[in-house]
Amino acid sequence: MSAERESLARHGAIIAIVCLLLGSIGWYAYSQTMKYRLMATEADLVPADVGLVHFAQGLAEPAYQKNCASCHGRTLQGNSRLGAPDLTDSDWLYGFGKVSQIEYTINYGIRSGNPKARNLAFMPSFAHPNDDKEKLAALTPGEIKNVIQYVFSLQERSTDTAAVQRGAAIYSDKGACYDCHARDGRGDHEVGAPNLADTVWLNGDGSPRSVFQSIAAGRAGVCPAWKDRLEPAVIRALAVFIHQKATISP
Amino acid sequence: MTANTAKQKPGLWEKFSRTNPRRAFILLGTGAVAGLLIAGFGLFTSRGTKIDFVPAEDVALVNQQPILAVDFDAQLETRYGVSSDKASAAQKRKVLHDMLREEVYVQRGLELGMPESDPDTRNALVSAVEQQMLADITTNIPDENLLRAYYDSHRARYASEGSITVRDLLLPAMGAEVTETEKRVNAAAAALSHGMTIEAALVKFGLKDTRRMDGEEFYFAARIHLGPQLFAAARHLKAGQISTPIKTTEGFHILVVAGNDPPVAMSFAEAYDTVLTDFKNDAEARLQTNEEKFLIGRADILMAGRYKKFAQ
Repeated sequence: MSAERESLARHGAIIAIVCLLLGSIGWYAYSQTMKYRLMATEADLVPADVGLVHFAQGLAEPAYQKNCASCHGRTLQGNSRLGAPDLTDSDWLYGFGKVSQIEYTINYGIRSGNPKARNLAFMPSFAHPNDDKEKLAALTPGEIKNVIQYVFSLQERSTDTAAVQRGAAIYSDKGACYDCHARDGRGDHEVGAPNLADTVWLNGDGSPRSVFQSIAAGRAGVCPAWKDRLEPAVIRALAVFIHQKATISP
Repeated sequence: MTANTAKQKPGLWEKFSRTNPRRAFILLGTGAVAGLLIAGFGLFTSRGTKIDFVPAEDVALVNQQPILAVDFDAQLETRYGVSSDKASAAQKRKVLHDMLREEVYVQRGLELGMPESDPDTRNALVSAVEQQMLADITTNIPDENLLRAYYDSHRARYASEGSITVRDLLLPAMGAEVTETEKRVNAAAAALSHGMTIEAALVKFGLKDTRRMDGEEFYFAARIHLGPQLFAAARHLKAGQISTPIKTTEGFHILVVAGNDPPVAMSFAEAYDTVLTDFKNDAEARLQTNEEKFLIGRADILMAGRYKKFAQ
């Protein structure tokens, strides 16, 4: 009886190990196949494939929490103290939220030092002598306050009409703000210049004091290049994950 | 006879259920020799690992070097403003041709050793290596307590830029009549201190408004416009105060301060992003110094005699 039991236990253990092994091989094969499919599909067509999206989300979630959450937050809602954008809204700095565009940003980063990084512009400091290539003139405190009033007028919350007019002139001339933020203040997705006409603030809370600080001290947020640190399928999965969060969020 | 047969040892390759030390050694030795042969073959005939399929993330392999699909898509977007799924075959063909061309040219450049001599390539390599070194610092957000400690030990750095509004009134020096000029400027300063308007003082004492400043200015701009001597005198005056006459090569200046907001210390919360940037910059500088030491220490550098004294 005891020998029989022993034999049964031995056989049971062998079957369990074989099942585990087969299960692992099966899971590995499935995972590799899905990764291949994820990469073989045109990036912008992935969102149309429910199975791929589901797989990508599962692959991306742990990678996001490990690598991205420290800046963009565990719930992807960004951190205005760091100038890390909210990834759940539909306000895109670079591009228009297509998977391929997000994937490019993750691969090469923003001002990351990678030669292919998104690095065409940065917000200069207007309260310091400006010796960069653009040779922008520094602004006086009064001029900065006028520009703030002009920016607020784009959001219909300005309080001083005369200052708005003075600010508009500085915006279009001495400050050269239009060069990045566009004539109508709606930003430029090519250079990552934020839209000033909406109420989404990349840095600070949109109060006059915080906007003054942005103009006076300048801003140049950094996103690292992940190309050589994460495998391509994980990067694409992250792009799909972010695209989904932004699309699904109200 | 039967007993002898039973005691006979099984052959070397029989009864695998029983341990046979000799067989084990033979198998071990065979495995080791086979491994060494494969490794040796790989070592002496190696041209790198060659794969005959294109990984899913690539568009092509050119001499085993990948052309990434993400770069292909970005090129389409940049050149034609369309994503890969919307681009025409002709557009894709053109972009692909250009990328293949670039890759073969890059590879030819590497064969010719151009990275050794081309300054742009050298700079790009230096930048890439630096970036790789600093990747961990760039991606990590340090603990809040560490940042706070850093802020506490560098508080002087974290203040707003002060601003000031000054009118600079000048009484030019008039050769031998310096004493007379000095008397007049002292009288002007006294009159201004007792409430005389600037316009009235300009007329009465023959002062000249230099108009060096454009209304309210940040301290740095005021320092440039007034010059270090006058700025040093102005920055300690409060709104409404008038300086004593200041002698320069131009003559005597009186500074009338209409407003002065000195730099205000920023709280940790206000300065958070600047503190973080400074903290990371310091950490990067330390890491770079150590890496440089390591790389230079590891390199076999032979210095020409006449340059040895500069290599310290």
